[in-house]
Amino acid sequence: MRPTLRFRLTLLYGGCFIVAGAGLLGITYALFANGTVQRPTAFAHGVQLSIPVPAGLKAIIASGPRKLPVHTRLSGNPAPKARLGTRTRPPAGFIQTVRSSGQKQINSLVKRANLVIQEQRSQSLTSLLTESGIALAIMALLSIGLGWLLAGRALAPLRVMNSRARQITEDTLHERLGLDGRQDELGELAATFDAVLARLEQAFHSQRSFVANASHELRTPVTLERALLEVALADPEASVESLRRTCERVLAAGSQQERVIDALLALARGQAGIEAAQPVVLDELVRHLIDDRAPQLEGIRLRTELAPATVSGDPALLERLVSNLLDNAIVHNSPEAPWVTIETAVTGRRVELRVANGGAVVPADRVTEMFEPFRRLEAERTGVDRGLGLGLSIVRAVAVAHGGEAEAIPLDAGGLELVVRLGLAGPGPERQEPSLHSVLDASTDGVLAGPDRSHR
Amino acid sequence: MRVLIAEDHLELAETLAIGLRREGMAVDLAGDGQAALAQAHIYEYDVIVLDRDLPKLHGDKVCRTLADEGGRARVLMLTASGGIEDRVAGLSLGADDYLPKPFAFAELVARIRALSRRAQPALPPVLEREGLELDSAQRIVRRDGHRLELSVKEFSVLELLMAARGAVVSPEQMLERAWDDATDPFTNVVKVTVSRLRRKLGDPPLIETVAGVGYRL
Repeated sequence: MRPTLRFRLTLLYGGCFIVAGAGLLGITYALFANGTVQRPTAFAHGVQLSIPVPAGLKAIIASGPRKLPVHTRLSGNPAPKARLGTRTRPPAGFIQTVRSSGQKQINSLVKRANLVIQEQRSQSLTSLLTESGIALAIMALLSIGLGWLLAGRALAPLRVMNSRARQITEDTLHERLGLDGRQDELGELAATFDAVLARLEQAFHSQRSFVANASHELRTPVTLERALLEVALADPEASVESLRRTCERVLAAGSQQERVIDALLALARGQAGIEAAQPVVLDELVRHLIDDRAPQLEGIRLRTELAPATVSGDPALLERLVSNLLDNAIVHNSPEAPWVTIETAVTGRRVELRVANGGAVVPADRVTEMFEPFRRLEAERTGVDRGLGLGLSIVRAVAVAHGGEAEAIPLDAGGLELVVRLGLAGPGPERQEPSLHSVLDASTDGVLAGPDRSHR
Repeated sequence: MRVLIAEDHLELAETLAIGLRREGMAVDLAGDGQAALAQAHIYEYDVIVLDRDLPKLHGDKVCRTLADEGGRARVLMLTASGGIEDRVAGLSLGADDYLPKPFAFAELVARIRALSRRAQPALPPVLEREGLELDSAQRIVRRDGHRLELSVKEFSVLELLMAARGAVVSPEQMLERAWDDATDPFTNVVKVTVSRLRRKLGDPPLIETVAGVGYRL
């Protein structure tokens, strides 16, 4: 039989009961046998012979003049205590007076009587043992049966949880075990399991919506390209000029597609973590990328405070992170008086990068969802130059991969500050030329196709 | 035939509009869900091409609203979510047809035409009346077997007259059904087109003017 918990519990309860019962019986037996109870003996005093007999037994001892046939038919009452030298009258039915001739006969009678008493005693002890044994056996069976039932009832919630949990698949993750009302350990277990299911459902949902969004983003440029080509080919008045224009537009759509693929890959790589960490001089990287964006930064009031800071990490991912932050700050700025502030600093064991920009006031509840993939502000969905909504999720993924975090703080006067904290502060502010070269190499090998114009 | 394209991707919407106009349809554009509903309430469209992911008001809600209101417009849903569940969901919302992206332009045109035929009352693909034979898919008109060369607008007006089956069609209705919202409503382009059409149809004249009301075939 399968060693189920119910079986084991029943064995345990039943076994404990049997042991306790047996112990009880044993103690009783031992006490009984060893004499807190008076041990009855027969003895003679004077002419009279006192033979105490146990309760409930009848004792009639008769003896004749010559032989001493002792017919032992025992009857009697509780043995009174006899004292030597006194003439006590034995209670009725206790003993019959024995008339006999000599001391020897009396002594042998006494011996015989004692033997009978012994025998009686051992018989009653044996029957005590037997009957107790039977009682114990019956009670043991009862307790095992009862134990089985009770164990089953106690464990019923576990069976319910098990069968419900079995039915939950990835398509039914919204279901819960729902063991409501129980306050005990099983209720706690069910509640914990439900919490796990909730987290799992959330994760599946995020993954599914990510996949749906990603496929949507990938299909959109393809749809446009197809429509452009088909409409151009169906044009009865197609000229070289119109076809050429169409080709250019298809190319533009193609590069949009490249950006999408690129951003998705960057996100995947960011989430996958760093392969080989190298020292990256962050302040130099920032300066380099700011210089790259000189044309876009025209007309924007720029303030930089770039303290020397080196991190250990992936140069390509870090370049991506900084680029996204810079592009966001440039694009989402206030139209009248745009400003951008960039700081790098080392605080303790962490390196901090802060990018702040002016603009509209951001409601506090938008701050967390900004980092989710494909999340854009509503206004930018129309128009030719659409952001992907992946910029900040890439920033966060890269920050986390580097043992840090990314945070967005809305500014009271309007605008936003993005703080990225990276762990693993590198060894001091030495300029390390190889790291800058590796950053430049990474940016020219085609993996990064220019600045990622992704919006929040 | 008048079509509304509700699509927030402007370049795609414009490209589709160019292609559909070449097929003889009058095309209006809406860039978000609210604009799409507003347009659908102002004009009577034969077919509304609806992208699901629209800003301001989600395409699903637009479709549901249109389905609840009734109205003659048939809805063709377009979206990049092409899985079975999405198709089922879209059709369950009240869409009349569903086309996942990316799609072949020719298929889009064919489906739009098929949907517009189903506007009440249902029309056959080839209209015949008074010796005229009009094939809307192939854009061919024949009178007594001879092929006629009509312009896009003339074709549309003739299609309207034939679909009316002898009922009177007012110039306003013609303007609404065969021209898009970029047209000046006080123009006399309808009159001009009808007279050109009359000339091309030849003798005996088929189009009758009902004074103060409109035209009939």
